[in-house]
Amino acid sequence: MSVPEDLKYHSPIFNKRGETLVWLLLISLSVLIRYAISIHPYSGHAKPPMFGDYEAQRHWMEITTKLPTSEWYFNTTNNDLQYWGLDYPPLTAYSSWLFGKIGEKVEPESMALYTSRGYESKSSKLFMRSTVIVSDLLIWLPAVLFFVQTFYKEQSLLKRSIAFIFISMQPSLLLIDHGHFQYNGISLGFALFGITFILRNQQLLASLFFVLSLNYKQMSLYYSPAFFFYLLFTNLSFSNIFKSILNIAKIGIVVITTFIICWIPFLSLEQASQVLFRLFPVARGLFEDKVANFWCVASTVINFKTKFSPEQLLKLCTLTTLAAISIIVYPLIKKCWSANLKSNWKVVMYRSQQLMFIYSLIISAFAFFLFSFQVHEKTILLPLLPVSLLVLESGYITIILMLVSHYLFEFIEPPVHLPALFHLLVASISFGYFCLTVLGPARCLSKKCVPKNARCSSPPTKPRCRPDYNLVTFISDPN
Amino acid sequence: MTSKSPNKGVKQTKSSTTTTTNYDHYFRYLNLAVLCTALKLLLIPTYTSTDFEVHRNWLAITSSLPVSKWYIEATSIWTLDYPPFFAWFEYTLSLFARLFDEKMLVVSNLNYISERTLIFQRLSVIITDLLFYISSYLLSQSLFSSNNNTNNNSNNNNQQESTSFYKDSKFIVFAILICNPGLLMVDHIHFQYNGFLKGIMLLSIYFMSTNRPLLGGLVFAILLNFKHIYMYLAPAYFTYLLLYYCIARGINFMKFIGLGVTVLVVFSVSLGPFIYYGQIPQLLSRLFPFGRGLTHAYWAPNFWAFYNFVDRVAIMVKSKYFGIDMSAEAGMLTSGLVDSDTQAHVILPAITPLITLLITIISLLPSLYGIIKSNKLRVFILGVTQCCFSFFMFGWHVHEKAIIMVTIPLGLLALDSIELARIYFVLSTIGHYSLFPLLFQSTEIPIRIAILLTYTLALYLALQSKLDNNDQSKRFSLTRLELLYVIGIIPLEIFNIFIHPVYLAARLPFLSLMLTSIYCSVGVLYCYIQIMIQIFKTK
Repeated sequence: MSVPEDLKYHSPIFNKRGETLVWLLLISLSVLIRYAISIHPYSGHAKPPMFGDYEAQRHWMEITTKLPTSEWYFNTTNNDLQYWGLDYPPLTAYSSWLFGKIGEKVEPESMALYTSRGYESKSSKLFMRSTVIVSDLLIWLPAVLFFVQTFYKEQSLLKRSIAFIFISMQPSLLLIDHGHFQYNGISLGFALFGITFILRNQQLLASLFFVLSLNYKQMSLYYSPAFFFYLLFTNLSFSNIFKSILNIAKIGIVVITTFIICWIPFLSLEQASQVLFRLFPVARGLFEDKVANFWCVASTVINFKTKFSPEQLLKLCTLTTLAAISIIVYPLIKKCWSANLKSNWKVVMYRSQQLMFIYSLIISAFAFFLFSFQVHEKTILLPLLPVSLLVLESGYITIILMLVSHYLFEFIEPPVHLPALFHLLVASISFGYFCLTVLGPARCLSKKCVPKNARCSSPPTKPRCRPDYNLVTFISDPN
Repeated sequence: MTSKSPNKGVKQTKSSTTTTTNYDHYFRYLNLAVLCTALKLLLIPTYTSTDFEVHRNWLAITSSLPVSKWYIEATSIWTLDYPPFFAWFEYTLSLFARLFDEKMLVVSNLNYISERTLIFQRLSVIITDLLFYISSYLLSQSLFSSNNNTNNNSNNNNQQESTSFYKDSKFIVFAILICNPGLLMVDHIHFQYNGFLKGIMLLSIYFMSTNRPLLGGLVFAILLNFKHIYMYLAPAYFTYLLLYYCIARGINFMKFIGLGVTVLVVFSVSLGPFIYYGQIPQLLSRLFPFGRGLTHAYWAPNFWAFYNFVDRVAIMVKSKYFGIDMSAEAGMLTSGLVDSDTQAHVILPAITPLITLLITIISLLPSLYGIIKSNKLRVFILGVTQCCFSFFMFGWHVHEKAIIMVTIPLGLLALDSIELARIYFVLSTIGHYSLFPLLFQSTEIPIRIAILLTYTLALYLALQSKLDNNDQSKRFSLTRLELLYVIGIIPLEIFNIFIHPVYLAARLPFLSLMLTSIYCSVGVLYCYIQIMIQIFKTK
């Protein structure tokens, strides 16, 4: 068997140890950049009475460590929901509890009930910032590395590292998590683990991680149609009904068990309905301020907010979103069933099938972002993740979308102190990012996007192997 | 990144390939430079040392006072103590500072800091660093140009070199220079203008490397009038210019006079106004403040750190085992260190400036010997490095920041041979680690670690991939002992961050500084001796 040209060229230098060092280098570079961003002020810094998302996260740590679980989602004397009430699913609450417990040890006064509202100090900022960096190190960066090593494993180390940087250092994610202050890396990391396990055809693990992601932030629902249809269609076969039912039942059991475990403290009807009510507040209106979605654009022509009642709008949104999602159904069915037929139930994952899954993720996330009710501008991160995954496949589209996503920066309000500095921050992050990925190496990458496959027999002069014949992964399913 | 096309004979394809290569070539450098700048911009809100106020004060002095008062003004304790060109440089900056915030230009506005002042001062460092980028680029190109090849590795195919960035010697040297973690920490966090000054230094070496010694000497004279610490380089420059410019192929008086006049003109432009005002003694007293101690409060990792350490240990042994009362010294001892200015040696003989000067001159001899023996550029750069290094090792009141003056010229030779690569790797890791106490605040601790870790990993990979060789013995790798020593800074750093402040800071507040200093001096001394060996080895 011949060794691919790329590998031959690298082999003496970048042996196994060298490759580990490369990944270590990239991880330490990403920690450096994350940390450099996080020394800047966070959202709502020194801005009483409500402060910002930083204060919300700190407040949740305070609430979850000091109050029993039964009070977390309820408006009680100790828990004023008007002041940053908890409105994320239980996993967020648990991680807040964990960070809060550590924070109590580090600086007890920053986690005290009542008195710590709006607590700001240099050391507590350092602590809060480092929790985001550590959670990135534990979940987000490993997820990206895992994805790159799975999906692009035929590519050279250089290209893989570029893909790693491109995905893990998206300016919008860095700014929202480390500048503005949130923990999107955790939920996106879980979702990416789910995606990667799907690409490896390990469906049970995939559903487990996707449920975790859903339970960290409900916005991961944007991906659910893609996961749902994909898992359904790959397991559905009319020639072997018994086996398809068995497979689907297995996935169902995993999903339900994971959900139950996550929701153990909130399993009573009263608790569960209150949590759900907190997670999906429909009263906030069609869209917030200025989101670059369909309703915002259409509002310049028709004033939806005055013409329709909120109930009607909700129905309208649901219908349009469903219509937009339905686009993916037919291609998915076609791809999955034809794959099933071809492979004759041997577990084989075709490149085109993998791509189709990622495309359907993009479509369903965009459908929600563009048409659903009450969209927050930060949710652009959800369509951006699957888009960025395609960096070595269809470079130009990815890059254009990444550029467009910079509209987001308009919406992160500059902090009270050092507003000018904030714009410098934004500019330098995007410039640095585009230098690292887009302008330089990725420019060359997008020309030749198909991996040089060792098994691909077509001569290298041919511009592109048909992806369908590019057998990429041969990983057996645990089933 | 363009691969060699199979139909190379066709003219059209060939030309298109070369244009893309050129395009990629410039892009590569531009990318890295912009990336570095982006990182520097991100570091704007970090902690600034008193040097920030020093430079603000100089801005105020030069902008609001006439030239005759520049070296007399003493409202702030941070009086102007750099040579005149630097004062003019500050004056030029102050013209722009006016656009940002007028208040920073008021002499009596001590410790004034506003957001705009911060941004202006930080941006001035970042923008003047452009000179450093440019001269690094020029020098990295000239070092590896075909007629001036200092590369010993004949094994490497030159054709392959330009294809990927991790095989490209020019690019690696450029990256080694501009990503220097010491400059990042000292200039962009601690606050100084070293990058700009190093830019002038590299420019001078560039002119020397392209066989324009007169221009090189001129730029060097200008550099001396920016910051007089660059006198460290002067012996090497003087010897080289004298031997290979003035008396190459017989004594050439015209060249000698030409060089002398050039240097004299630079100095008279710089010092002229002050000669006119009769302020030369005043100026000199500012530039060379005697009365400071042998070492700084934090011992720079050099020979005198050992000397001090031995003295401390001797005091301890004497008081403990010989029962001699040393209560006065014991006070110093328990704090781990003493204040720099009042510091005196108790057991070992006291050191005077004259002694340090003598030792330094003796230690310079190897580098001068090397330059006398060979006129190769490689030896010249090695000589310059050794010269700086000697001053660093044995000089009077050396600051730890001066290690960057050694690592930058040595970085030029990092790809020269396996031995120099190893020396550079150890010195850059240890030397830049010794700068850590400059950034002591909690916010900056993760930054300093991340900067050094990233640079060290990248350097290791770059050296390994570039100096790759089929022969195992000729590959870049550290010896076991070196590796152990370099990795040893990890437990040391853990001790400094977590253990020392919690358990020992009350009893021995300076213990972590002393340990860092002593630990680093071992490596620095090792590198010093290694470089000396390299000089003697050259044919």
